[in-house]
Amino acid sequence: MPALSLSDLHRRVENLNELPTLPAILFPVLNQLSANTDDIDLQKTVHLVSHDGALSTQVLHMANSPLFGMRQRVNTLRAAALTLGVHRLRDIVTSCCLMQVSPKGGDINVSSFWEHSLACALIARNLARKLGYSDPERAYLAGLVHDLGILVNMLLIPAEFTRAYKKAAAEQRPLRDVELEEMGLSHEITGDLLSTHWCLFDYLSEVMRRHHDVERATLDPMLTALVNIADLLCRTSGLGYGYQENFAVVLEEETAWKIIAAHSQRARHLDMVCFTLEVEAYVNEVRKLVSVLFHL
Amino acid sequence: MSTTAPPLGNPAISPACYQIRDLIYGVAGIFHAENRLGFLEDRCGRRMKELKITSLRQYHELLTRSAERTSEMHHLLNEITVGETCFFRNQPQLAALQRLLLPSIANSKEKIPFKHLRIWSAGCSTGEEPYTLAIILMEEAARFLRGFTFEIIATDLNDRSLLRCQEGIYGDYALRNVSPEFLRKYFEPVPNSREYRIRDEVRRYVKFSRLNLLDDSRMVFVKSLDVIFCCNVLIYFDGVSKKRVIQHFYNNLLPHSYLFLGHAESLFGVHDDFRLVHFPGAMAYIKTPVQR
Repeated sequence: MPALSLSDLHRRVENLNELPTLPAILFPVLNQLSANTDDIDLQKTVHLVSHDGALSTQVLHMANSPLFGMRQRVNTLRAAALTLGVHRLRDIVTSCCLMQVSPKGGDINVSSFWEHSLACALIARNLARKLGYSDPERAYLAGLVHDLGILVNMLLIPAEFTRAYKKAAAEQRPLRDVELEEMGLSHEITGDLLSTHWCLFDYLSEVMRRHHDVERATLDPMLTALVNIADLLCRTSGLGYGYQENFAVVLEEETAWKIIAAHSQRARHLDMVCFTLEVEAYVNEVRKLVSVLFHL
Repeated sequence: MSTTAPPLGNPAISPACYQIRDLIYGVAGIFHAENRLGFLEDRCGRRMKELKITSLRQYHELLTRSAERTSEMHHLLNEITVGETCFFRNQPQLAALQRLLLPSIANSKEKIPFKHLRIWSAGCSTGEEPYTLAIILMEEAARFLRGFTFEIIATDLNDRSLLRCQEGIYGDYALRNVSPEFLRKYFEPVPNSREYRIRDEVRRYVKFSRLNLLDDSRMVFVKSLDVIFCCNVLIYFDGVSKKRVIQHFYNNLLPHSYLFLGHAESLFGVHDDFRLVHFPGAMAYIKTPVQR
């Protein structure tokens, strides 16, 4: 089959109304939680979220996961909001809203996609903190959305993408390489289209577009580099795209790590073995959480 | 490191125990921190019982002044260095060796007329690791390692463990990760027992010897290695000894060759010339040429 041209794809995007739409509740909630800390009305946010029963249940489940550091179980949205604080609540609401944007049916297990994305978000935020990056919450969000182009591929070009995915899984190769080989484009391109469609922040668009091509990031190279490293660590720790890739990587020699080292003096003081063990500790919790969220 | 004992030490531990701790550290680089002294005392106790010695002070004298001091130190080291292991223990590590490293090594030696592969199992305990490695290499002999000769150097400090290696007899626990197919192919049942003996075809690839990893005069001879496995051995060493051993590993590996450590072992702050490499579910260190 001939590779899809970018213009074909653009046409499909223009002509189809199959692009995922974000839950309507997300933007008012994000507006609420993005105000100055003193102006945030948590009660109002809780009220907004509680209008969506499914979302409320998901938020509570996620809030009670050890991944978000809750020391004791909470049973109400209000208690979760008060205990977690604004930043974590925003991360959780955003994660739950995005997870609702999942293609139904098809041959590819969407929960693997969200396991990868959620793990990537957590790792990017953790790495950002350790390396002194100014906005770890931004790193969380960037990790969460970096691969959304894969969902777009599942929706807009399902036959071509499924074929590429199955080949990548059978050959245990990186998905992006096989996407390019089989379709002539990869999920960063479609992710970029989605970010335009959704009017996402420029820094998120850049991560979606450049996370495998870090040297071309210009707006916030450190952020894109953090997500690239988080992505690699997810894939070596068993939270890739739902299959085990057969690859080896020396992180220190990756362009992304060189960018990080140029931006943060703390990079050379990070024991990567220890950090990898921290990452491995997430794996089961992430799987458990995503599985629960998908079966609610 | 100067370690001698008590005034600030644990009053429940006898001063002789601290002296024996220092002695072991001097001979083998194995350091028993405060929380391991109970273990050390217990292992000395086993030897003392056999020798009918009643105090640690007397036992320390035996270890330092008697004519049998060298052989007794061997016995004591045997007591304190018994490892717990099994065949195919760290599967992601072995998968990395089999699926990624062997093809890459084979490729890098493609143009060499005499193709030889040398793997060192440093701290081989009772033999499960080196025999596992031999089985993997035998499995690949017709594929990636076509035309190769290979050998596994297996060393340990513990004489008793090495005897077990030579016997090559294993029970259920050690064999729990071995598939029925491999059990048939590489082991033979021991008559009137539930145990299995490793077949001679596997055994011939493994060369066992006693080696103290801090014995500089012998370490320099374990040369030209493609891969070293040293899993859960360096945890017994203090920082200085660990650096010394790792420097030997570095010198003994061929360029761009690999060092596998135990799951949670790191060279961070120990050695700068190895690069950490991530594989699916496993990590190793690759020897990179020094750039100064």
